[in-house]
Amino acid sequence: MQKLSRYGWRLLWAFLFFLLFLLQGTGWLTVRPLHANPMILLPFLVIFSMYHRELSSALTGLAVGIFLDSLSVSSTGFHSIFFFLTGLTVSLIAHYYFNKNIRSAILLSLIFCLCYYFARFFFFFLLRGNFTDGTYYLFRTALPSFIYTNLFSVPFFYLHHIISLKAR
Amino acid sequence: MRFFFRSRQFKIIVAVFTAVVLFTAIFGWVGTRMAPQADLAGMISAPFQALAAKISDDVSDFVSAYQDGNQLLLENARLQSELNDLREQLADYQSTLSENEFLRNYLGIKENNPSLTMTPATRIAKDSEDMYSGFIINRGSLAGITANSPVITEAGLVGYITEVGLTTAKVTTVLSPELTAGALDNRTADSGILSGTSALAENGCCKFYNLSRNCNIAIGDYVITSGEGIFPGGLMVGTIEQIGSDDYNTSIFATVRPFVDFQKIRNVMVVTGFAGQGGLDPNGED
Repeated sequence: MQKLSRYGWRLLWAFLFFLLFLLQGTGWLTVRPLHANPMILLPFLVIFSMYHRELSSALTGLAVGIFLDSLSVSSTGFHSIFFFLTGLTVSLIAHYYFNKNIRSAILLSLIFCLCYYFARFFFFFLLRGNFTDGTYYLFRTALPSFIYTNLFSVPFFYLHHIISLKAR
Repeated sequence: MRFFFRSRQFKIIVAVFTAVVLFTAIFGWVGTRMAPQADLAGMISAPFQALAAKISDDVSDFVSAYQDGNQLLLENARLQSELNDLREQLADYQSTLSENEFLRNYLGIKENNPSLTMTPATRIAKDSEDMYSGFIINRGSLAGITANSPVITEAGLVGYITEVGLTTAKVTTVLSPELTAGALDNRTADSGILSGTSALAENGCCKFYNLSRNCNIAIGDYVITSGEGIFPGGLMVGTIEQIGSDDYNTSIFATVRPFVDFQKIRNVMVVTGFAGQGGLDPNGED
């Protein structure tokens, strides 16, 4: 197979992110057990950022976040900022402190998913003083969503692995 | 890592981050306008979202049809003889019927509420993170849609527009606690407030509360909008499923099941004008 150019690979990554974004928006993932709403783009971004430099990870996170903000009814700017910081932090941590393997991918995915759902709970419920709905969200939606989202980190790791092998 | 913090890359990252936070803060304060970066992303993705929603709906229809297959076959056999008689008449109408179904519903709403001016829109994406079934439609300020416009279907009230972009808009449903609207029991005219809670939203219901202890509401009554707030009066909301007394005061509340199935919404009407428009903010911020 003829090797893709550098821009070709970038386009492929952009296409994959966009495809997952469309999937996130169709509501197909909301056919869900225990009211879980997986945020599939988060583990994908974590794994992408593990293998890419800080700037490209941060900007990819920002782009993903902006697209998610266009879908989000109640959280203007939240995704842009969170995904931007996630891309940057994961890239830095993976570059300086972690080995790039599936254990790191799962661990980082777990940490950042936990941060994501806790940040949602904090900004959209706790900070607004809506503690009753917040507690409900935390246990009935955030917890199953956290578990559901992390299930995607293993297949995404192998997808990334396959693409990286082809790219070499 | 020290080198990274001194690098040009880091300065670019800080600059971009500051710009994003500033944009978000400014548009977060303005509140009703989508941030320009999200608006642009919405414009780019809207056609693809519409296509993805169409495919998703078609697959969903196919799965439903398959699941209901046996039942449909039995029903089909029973109706077959009747259908044969009617087939000739139906042939002329069949294609027109399906094409115009949505517009006929639109006219139906117009007949009931002659003062309403409406713009048709289609749901192009769901906010899967929203517990209250919020979604995105394919019409924005270019189609004359403004924030706080009520959103309805032929079945009844859906919600209202919270943020508007040029070609897309965000809809918050009646299941959300963000929305509060004046409502009436259609039979007894007892008035109260309609809003959502997380627990009820899980079952697709909302809360009709602040009803007087002497009210005569009953299970099965219809709830309609009272005309207070941003919604025109007389819009159907749903039926009362449960009645209880409030823990914190002497008032009565009821659980209302909306007529609209929020999981199956495809086409909606955005009410862009009606008699007596310009009521209170649905978040109670006015």
